[in-house]
Amino acid sequence: MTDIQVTHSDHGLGVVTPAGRLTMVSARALTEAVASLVDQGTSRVVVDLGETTFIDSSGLGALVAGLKRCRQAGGDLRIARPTAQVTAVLAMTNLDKVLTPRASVDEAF
Amino acid sequence: MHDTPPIAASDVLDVSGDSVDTGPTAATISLAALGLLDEPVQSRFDRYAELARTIWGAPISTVTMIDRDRAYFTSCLGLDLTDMAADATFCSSVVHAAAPVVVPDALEDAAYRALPAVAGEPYIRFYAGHPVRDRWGTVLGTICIYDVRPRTFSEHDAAVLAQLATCVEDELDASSDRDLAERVQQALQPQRVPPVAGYSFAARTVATGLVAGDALDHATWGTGHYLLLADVMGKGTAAAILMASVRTALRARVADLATGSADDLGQVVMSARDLVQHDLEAAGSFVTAFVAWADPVEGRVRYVDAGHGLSVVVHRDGRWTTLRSDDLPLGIDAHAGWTEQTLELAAGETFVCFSDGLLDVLPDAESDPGRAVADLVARSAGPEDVVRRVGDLALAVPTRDDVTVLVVQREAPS
Repeated sequence: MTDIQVTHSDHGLGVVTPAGRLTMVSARALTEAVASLVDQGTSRVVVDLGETTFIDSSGLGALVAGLKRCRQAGGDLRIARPTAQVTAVLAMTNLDKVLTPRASVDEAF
Repeated sequence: MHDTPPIAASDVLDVSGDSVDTGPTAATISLAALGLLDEPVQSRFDRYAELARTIWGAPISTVTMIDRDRAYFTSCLGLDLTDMAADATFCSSVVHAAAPVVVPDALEDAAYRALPAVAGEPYIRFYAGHPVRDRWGTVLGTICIYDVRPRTFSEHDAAVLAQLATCVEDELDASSDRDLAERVQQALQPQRVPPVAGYSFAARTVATGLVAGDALDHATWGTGHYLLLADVMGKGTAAAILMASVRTALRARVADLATGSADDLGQVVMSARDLVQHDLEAAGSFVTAFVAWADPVEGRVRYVDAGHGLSVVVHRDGRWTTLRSDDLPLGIDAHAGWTEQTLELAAGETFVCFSDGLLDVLPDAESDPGRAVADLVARSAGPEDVVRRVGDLALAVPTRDDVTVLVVQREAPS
């Protein structure tokens, strides 16, 4: 089971950190975490993937859903520190064009 | 049609309608649709019969389906029976009454004392049965308990039995939905592809559940061949429903290419996207797809890779080329475009397209899919063998994802 941490950075960003496997089981929790940040007025969100060991299509779907949600609220969703498997899946599906990986949470915005 | 009508049966509506001798009854149609007739006794209902035995400490419990004049014991615990004449059962009176029946002591009850199971082995004295209905309310059968001694059955007992009947009804519904979904999807699998001179071809999906979120499609228009391998986000029934509409949209638009009303495969994918974008967005899903239009005579394949990224050409010398694209999956961006690309398949070359489920089952594929696929092709004796090996691998381990593979080989001149 993925553990999803939600924090706020000094610059008013929401930082969501899913640890472990981001799959069908945990994708919904990620979607809800992003949605609840947006609902509370934080539409600039970084998903820190440094602790995410594995992502499947449902996990990608949750990132895309989060991106749409943030953009609809006038913000954006960026991803940071993807692991090798996550980077490979993003590249394979060309989703790195809409979810450009950043080297760190601080550099995301 | 009953020589000795069961108690109360004469003054209730004959809901099963089986007094009509021509044509199947509503119950028969429903039972057949649920796949409950002419099948071995089904263990999926045993848990409810077992629960009933445990709750009431009864030696015998059955889930019985009545079809016209025959009773089928879908589950039968405590007795070794599969079916018998409906007239000889307590259950038929439940079906005829369309209401629960309790017989505290069959020897004291004129309607039941002559039943074979009362007058002879196993000398039943007590019976309590509750109707089991389909979702339209037709009584299909019963869940019931039997004892060899007289008993009482309280209102509370009756309420518990009614609850168990509801569980059996839910199981009937769920099982038939699952079976039907599986059968429909089997029917949607492409027909066996007719032989194409100079090529051999094989493809297969192994679903992780009963239905797959992966799709394969093939069609021929004129001399051209349409091929599709697509993977929808997620798996199971929800994924299969979305995939069915994407598959249809793509097929319909690719036909435009065949008739000449479209001439670019990228445009074709865009117009298919326009048909499904709303559905995909509403479901929060997306689809990766390899869409191809092949001319076997020229060995030329026009294709669009929509975020699929899992297509490899294995050359005669064992080296391989992974097909690249910059295009997004369908459902991500309402304004995305797709680019038609071209692939020439030379004699002796093998084209392999697969879903990411293969990465889970093929050794070392996660780190280097191209090499793993090239190795697999080198070890195999043609497309059929590649597909058979992938099927064996996918079935050998519990997979997280559907596994689909499509292989086309252009035969080397002999």
